[in-house]
Amino acid sequence: MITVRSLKKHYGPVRAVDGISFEIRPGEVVGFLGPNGAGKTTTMQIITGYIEPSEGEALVDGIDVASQPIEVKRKIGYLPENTSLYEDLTVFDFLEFVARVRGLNGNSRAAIKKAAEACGITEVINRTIGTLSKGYRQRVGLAQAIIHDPPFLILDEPTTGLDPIQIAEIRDLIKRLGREKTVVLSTHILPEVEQTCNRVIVIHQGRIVADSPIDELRKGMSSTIEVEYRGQTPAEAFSGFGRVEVVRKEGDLHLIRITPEGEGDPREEIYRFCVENDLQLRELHREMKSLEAIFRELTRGEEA
Amino acid sequence: MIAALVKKELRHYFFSPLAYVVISIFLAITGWFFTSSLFIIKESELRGMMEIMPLVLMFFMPAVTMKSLAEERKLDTIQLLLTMPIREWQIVLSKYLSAVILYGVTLLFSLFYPLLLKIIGRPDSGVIFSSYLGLFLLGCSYIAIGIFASALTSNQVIAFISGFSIIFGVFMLSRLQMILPVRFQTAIEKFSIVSHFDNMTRGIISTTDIVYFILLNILFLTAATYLLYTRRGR
Repeated sequence: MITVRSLKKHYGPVRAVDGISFEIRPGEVVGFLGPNGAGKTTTMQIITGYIEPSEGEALVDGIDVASQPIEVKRKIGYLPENTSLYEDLTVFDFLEFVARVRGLNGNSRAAIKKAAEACGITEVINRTIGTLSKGYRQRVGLAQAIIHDPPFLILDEPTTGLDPIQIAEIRDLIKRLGREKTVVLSTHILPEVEQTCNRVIVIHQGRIVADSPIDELRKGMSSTIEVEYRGQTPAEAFSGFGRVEVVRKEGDLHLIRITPEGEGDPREEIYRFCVENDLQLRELHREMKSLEAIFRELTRGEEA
Repeated sequence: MIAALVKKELRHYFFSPLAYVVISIFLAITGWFFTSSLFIIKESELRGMMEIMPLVLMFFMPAVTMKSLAEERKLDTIQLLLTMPIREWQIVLSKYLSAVILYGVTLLFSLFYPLLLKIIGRPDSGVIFSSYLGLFLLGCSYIAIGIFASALTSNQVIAFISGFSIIFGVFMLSRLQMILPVRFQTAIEKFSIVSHFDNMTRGIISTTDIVYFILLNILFLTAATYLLYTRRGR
């Protein structure tokens, strides 16, 4: 359980975090979503005990980070932003160093092996970190974070700068880790949250603007149906299916957008309606409002 | 835990050319002053070498320590360290100990000179011992100052220059004596690193001198720890 209560962090006049509160239950995979500079990293750094908040408190497993940072740090595996690693060490030496510092003395070899296997870096274990590709480095960073088998994983932008294949691999890895650990990850890439997390906390300008399970967030937002047809029937004829909006009209070619009321999917009825009225249907598709659009909607108000 | 940290630091020193460059150049410089006093003055003593040591180490120690904390901050690996269950003082201490070990190894190599004296002449073993103890404590103090300077910044060049300047300041206290009124002279002498070192090169081992060096080390290491603590996340 991670509990954060009215957390604030000021850097001079800049309010990096401005009153954030949330609770993360065991086993959840939570995504911090927000544009760069929203306060995601600062919030994570406070939870990991790296920096102290100006106000408010953070508790990990009921332990106050400010008063017992060492205890908290034992329970957390952390992947910092940009994955800074010691370039001149080999992967093995680096992991051994982390294992030793984290107090795994006797069984460090077994822990290194397990973490390396979980992150798929066994084949590069003797290579110098400086010679590794970004994808491998990121995995070394993850291996470092899980080496002591912590119940909490905090990953700051785990997929930034990776190519699509590497991103998919890291996401799979996070998903696998999420089965037994509480994971908090931050990102400004929306599909990432959709694919890996079961809950999203949208942070914008140091505040939480949304906090809900992914499905619910999307459910609250309606979908639209675009219909393109050729025929004399005016667009208003479709008003039985929902709110109709004409996007384009060239002669008898219409492109309209229907926003249905409620949860239903009236695509089949629209098709039948077109057939019955002898309209030539050129296109009919539903557009799920993406998290992207939802995100834009949530953050727009703040900027205005 | 500290052992793991020290091991990592030593790896940085000895798996890179740094340690070997330091050891060989140190031996070359000390060798020069050793042989010149041996062959020119024809005395079997380390005086000539010892006189120059505060100046030689003034360049060496900031160079050895400039990377220690500045680099961790620059590469942001400090974040990795400080989110592991360790304290700031443990990080500072491990940086200090590893540089002290490198310096100790260097001094061991330089023992060749007094051993040579033993073979060809009859030097005063007591003076040699106290000189080496003084040399060790002097170097340790410079290391502590160098680590403090490295905690000030993420830029290694700035760390070097500030480390050098602080050591130079502490060193110059002894030169200041000459131009100050008499009543300040004794006070200055108490704080001058050179006067404490000079006592030891003359074969005097006093508690005052040793306590002075220990306090100087603690002072700068504590200050470095404080800087590391207050400047997290900047």
